[in-house]
Amino acid sequence: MAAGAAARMGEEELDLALVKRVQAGDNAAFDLLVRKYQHRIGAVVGRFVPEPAECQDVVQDAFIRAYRALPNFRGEAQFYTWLYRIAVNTAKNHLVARKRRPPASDVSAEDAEHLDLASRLHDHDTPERQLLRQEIEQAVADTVAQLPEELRQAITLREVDGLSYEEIAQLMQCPIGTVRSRIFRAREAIDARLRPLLDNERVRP
Amino acid sequence: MSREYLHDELPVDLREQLCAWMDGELPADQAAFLQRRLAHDPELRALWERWQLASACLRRQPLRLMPADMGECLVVQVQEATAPRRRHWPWAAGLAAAVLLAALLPRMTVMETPPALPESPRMAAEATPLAAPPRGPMSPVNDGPRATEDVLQPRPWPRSPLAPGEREMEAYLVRHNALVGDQGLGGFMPYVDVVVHETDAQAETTADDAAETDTATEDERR
Repeated sequence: MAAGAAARMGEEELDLALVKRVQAGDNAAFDLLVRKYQHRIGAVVGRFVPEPAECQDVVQDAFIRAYRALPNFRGEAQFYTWLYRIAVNTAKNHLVARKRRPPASDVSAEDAEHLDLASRLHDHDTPERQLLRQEIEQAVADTVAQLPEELRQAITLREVDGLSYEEIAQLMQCPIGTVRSRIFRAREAIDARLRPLLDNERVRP
Repeated sequence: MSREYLHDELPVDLREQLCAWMDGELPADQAAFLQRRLAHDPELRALWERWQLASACLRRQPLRLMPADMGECLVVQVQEATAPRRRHWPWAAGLAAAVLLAALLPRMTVMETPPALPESPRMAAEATPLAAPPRGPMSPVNDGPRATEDVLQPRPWPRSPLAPGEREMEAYLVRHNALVGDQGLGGFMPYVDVVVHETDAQAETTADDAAETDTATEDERR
């Protein structure tokens, strides 16, 4: 979808802006990139390194490698695609270093997004983590389902269909400011359910 | 919707800006302000992380939850790995300098003293202090009556403990003269006279320059 591609371009520009800040020495921007992508990179690495603690180490190693390589990142590819490759290579190197054989075939970053079901069939995460992830996903789905129609439509068009605010405003026949407000209120509602789950997770040993 | 978990501590406009910035829909000037705020506001960064997590869930992206503090740990790691060495240098250098100074200070103190030569109590006793040279008009500063008084006081001249007394010097010169004469190298060298004359001449010149040093010169002659 061309409109969705335009909206995603805005998100890619945001990633690129964060990358440039990291390149300028702003480590807080790197923290934002880590917070944004750590769970997705965790899923990528988990396909190669199932054991939870080992997987976390490899994810950390991948981010450190990415940080060191960031000065050479020129934005020719999407940041997530670039990060995905680093994570895959880090996981493979980790397996080779431990004399374990990495998978024969590679999966691209785009295709990996569609391996959700397959990856969950072989989920080796800890039971607590699996439960927490299921709780989070369920909380998000339930909250969106309970949202007022205009909020649910706005957040769905943005997150699932990837439309820009302007495109959503045209579809919903309302000002852009209204779209912005609706998306914000929808996210606030979702966060109200997520926050206690994650706060409990933080105090969990 | 459970209102108790809404963010009372973060202003609504700030959260709205974060929401729009996340979608790449925030004007540049507001984005710059927000990024500065994000750099120093952990609560705002935590909100960013939760919204990103919710976004990934809505998009049905595969996830594997990482520890809550992974981002902070990673930032600490990269800061330590990439911190300029000179940031650690000042205290390390200071510590090293202090240790070095503590190690060398006793030796330096010892080296400042003259070489340990065997003292000769007899020679030290015979070493007569010389009068200080008169303080002439070298300094243009007029110190007043007290300065004049100081000048009039004869001061002992620092003398090497190795310098022999007058008797030893006379004996040495006589012996030297005899040896030189025996080898046909000439007669007696009036070394002592020259020294005496030079001292007198210097004292007289100084006396001409400053009248108040006359007394000191007389003391020296005595």
